[in-house]
Amino acid sequence: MGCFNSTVRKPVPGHENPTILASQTAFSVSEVEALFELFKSISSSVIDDGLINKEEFQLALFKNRKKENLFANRIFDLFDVKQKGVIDFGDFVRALNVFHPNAPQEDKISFCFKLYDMDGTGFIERQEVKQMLIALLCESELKLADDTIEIILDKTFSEADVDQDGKIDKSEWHNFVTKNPSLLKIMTLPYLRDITTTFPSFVFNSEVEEIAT
Amino acid sequence: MEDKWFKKGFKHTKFYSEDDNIFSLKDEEIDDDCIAYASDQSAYESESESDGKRRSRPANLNAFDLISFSPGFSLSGLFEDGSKESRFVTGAPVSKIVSKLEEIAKVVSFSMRKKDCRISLEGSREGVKGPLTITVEIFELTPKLRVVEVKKKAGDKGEYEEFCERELRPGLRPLMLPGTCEPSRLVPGPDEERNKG
Repeated sequence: MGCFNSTVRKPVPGHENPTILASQTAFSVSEVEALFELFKSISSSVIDDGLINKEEFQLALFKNRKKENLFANRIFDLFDVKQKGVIDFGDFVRALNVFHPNAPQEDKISFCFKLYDMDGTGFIERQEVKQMLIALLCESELKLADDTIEIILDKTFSEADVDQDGKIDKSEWHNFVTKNPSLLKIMTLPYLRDITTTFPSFVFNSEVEEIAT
Repeated sequence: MEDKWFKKGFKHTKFYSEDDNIFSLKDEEIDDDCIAYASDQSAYESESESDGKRRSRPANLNAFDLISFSPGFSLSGLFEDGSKESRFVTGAPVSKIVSKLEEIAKVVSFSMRKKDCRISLEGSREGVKGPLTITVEIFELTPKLRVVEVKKKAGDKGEYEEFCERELRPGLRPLMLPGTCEPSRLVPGPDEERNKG
């Protein structure tokens, strides 16, 4: 199978060894290679440097590189673990791994918590949720009156915020999500199971195949 | 996977787990957006059963459900250029929404299937990608408000958009709350940004 010393190919910027990445994640070597095809197309779309910057991310998600979006920013920040303002291939694969259908629930619950904990305090405060809700309403077709927003927040917090301290901590979040599994829907991408079919060009580039020749 | 060739004989079975049980779904009954993806599933199921009428107790949406509607959270945009869902808020009861949909379906001779608060409209014309199928789902936001979600389940994207523009949206407009803006573009205009409702 994969050989660590496949130095026959020149290293492409941003390319980590697929075998190592596969061993760290739920992806197979072929799937990592397919993800690399996807990564290449996103990371070269604005600046061809083997890294995904914010504009390229926005372009990939919205087909509009200028579209600023609070939620996409949160996702980008969590992918950008080294906080360098860019996502490299390793970051990309390891983050997408959490969205794999087979990834552990715990990882999804944890990632989702961090997503909503915008200021990183370790708590999801009511004010944060209100801010996100208002942002969502601004960008969508849904329009709600102020008092409706308060009713929705009250309802949500009365269920989630068990100790009623105005914020949701990790363990309250854990319980809340366990009772409402639909909240994790955004944390799973069924596409990741079919990735090698969606990006079949990897077949011609596969390091594994080249070793045989 | 989009290609019909790949789908021949392919039985896409989806699994979901709820309350520690694993359920598998047959594609024709429910699809991957099953179990009315919203919170308070237990209320949805037990109430409709105890009422004796498995009709129309919609699933409840909380603040996080709403927030997760954002396309910014939808990484599926990395993989496909899919049709976006459309949603609007209405004060109308479920029965009224359903009968409006029946009216619309009749006008265009679409067949309509209903399972609780989930409705499927299907055209008969075989387009390039098969008959146009649209899923409409109704959720409860507050005791006075419902959220209606419309999305394309199968068929050609252009055909779907045309149907929404010409038949669906005009037909449903009387149900929408005043001030609902028309979703024509991806980027909200300056007046929409200020109007937070």
